[in-house]
Amino acid sequence: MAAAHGHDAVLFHPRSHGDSTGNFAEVTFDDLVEDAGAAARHAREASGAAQLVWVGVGFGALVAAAALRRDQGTRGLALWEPVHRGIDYFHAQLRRALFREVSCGRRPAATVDQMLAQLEGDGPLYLYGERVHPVLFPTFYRSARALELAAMLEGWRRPALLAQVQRRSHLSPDNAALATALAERGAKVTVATVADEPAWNGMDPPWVSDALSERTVEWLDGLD
Amino acid sequence: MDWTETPAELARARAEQPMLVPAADGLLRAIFTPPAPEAPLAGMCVVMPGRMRWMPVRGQVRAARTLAARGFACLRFDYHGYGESEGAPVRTDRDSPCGGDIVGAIRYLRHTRGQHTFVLWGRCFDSLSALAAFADEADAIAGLLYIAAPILETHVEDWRARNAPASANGLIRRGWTALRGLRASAGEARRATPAVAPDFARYFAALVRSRARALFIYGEQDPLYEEFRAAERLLFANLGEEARGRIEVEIWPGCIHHPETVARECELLDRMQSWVETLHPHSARRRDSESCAERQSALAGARATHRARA
Repeated sequence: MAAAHGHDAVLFHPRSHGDSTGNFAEVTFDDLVEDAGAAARHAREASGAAQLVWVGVGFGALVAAAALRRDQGTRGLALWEPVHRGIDYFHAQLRRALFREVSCGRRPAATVDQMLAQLEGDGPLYLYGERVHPVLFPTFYRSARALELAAMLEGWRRPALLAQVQRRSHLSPDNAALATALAERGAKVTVATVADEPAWNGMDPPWVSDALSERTVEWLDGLD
Repeated sequence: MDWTETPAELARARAEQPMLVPAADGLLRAIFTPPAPEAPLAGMCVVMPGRMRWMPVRGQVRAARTLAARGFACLRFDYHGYGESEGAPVRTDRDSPCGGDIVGAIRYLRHTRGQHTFVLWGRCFDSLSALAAFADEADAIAGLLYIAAPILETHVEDWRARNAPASANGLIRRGWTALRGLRASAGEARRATPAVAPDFARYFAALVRSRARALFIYGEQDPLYEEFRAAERLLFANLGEEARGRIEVEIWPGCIHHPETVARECELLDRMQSWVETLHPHSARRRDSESCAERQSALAGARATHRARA
């Protein structure tokens, strides 16, 4: 949709994800940021554009926030249902796995805290029924658990789109606090709410929101 | 998945080409992995459909690169409406397999890449879609993986819930049906499961008429295993000797529809991959040495071990 409105767009899989190469067992958060930088260089070469806009989805918001700190030519930042803290991401994944296990009539062998303790140690952690990343590896967990989106965006004063995709119609406390903090620092913040609750790692049927795409494209058009 | 590409697999990854495949419901986003020039050519292209072409657990990515390193061409793609492909998303269910997408991929590969022989890779819905492609392209298909996929017209549990007597009227209705069932040998009341889906029967007949080899795998504890058992009585039992020689069946202990561990997932992927490799013209000796009977015997042992552990 962005391309249809005249904006070049690059989608990429970081190492060890999707069709890219690499071993997820060895990946750290810094690797993901490095890959985002490589994608940005490619985007500039391919499009000839000097300025970039980052669109971070879920955990990708943390990657985008880290990547734009290393990139001087960033014009805007769009955050789709951002993860605000690394540890929140892991908690949510583990809770989902436990829920799936219970819904399949199994008794989970460990609590979320016990599983996190396992990740603090050496062992990889299997997530029941997870189809994208069925294993969490300590290397990645340790590199990402302490991330804080608000802190990473402390220096951000350019346009931002904060799109919340949740059942509630008002902003969540984390999203409201981030929007306020960015605005107080002088960033022009656009807020969009989509009242829905997609399973971000769900597949069937895929979640598509024309409203979210349209709001994002409107915001992109407004940056020109 | 804890997987580091070998140098040969990495070379195949770097040789991959993006593709837009025209199909009935729009352009499908695909990745073509050409066979390694240094490997003996299999002369076959493995077609791997998926909702997202890297799912589950990037198994198709790994399989495509490994098989390409061993001489197979491979194509993995997103169904229409999924991943990066065009089209409206539809719920993947047993009534509407995406056979048209696979047929579109086969025809595009034939016309643009000179591929003439295909192996269809898949699990569950992907297998059902692959089987549906036999209706149009049976002569071009050399192999089919049919892994923990639906067979009957509806889920066994849903069917039982619908047919369970929930009230006095229900009991009377069921009793009457049972009486009628005494007269009708294949009557509703005597069936413990729903009927084989007419489309499945039609596609399966096309598989039987073809020259393709097929591997069916079910887990003993998969709900879908019950579907296979119904088909075993109604369809597999009537196969002629020639078809029996082409269509292999493996029943694994435990679950394979949703493998409970990553090790199990990898075990299944390894088996799918090794079976495809037996289709390579250069692996004829291996195929002969590992007979179906030997493998069934090994699986029987594994089932006994699994039961003992349980």
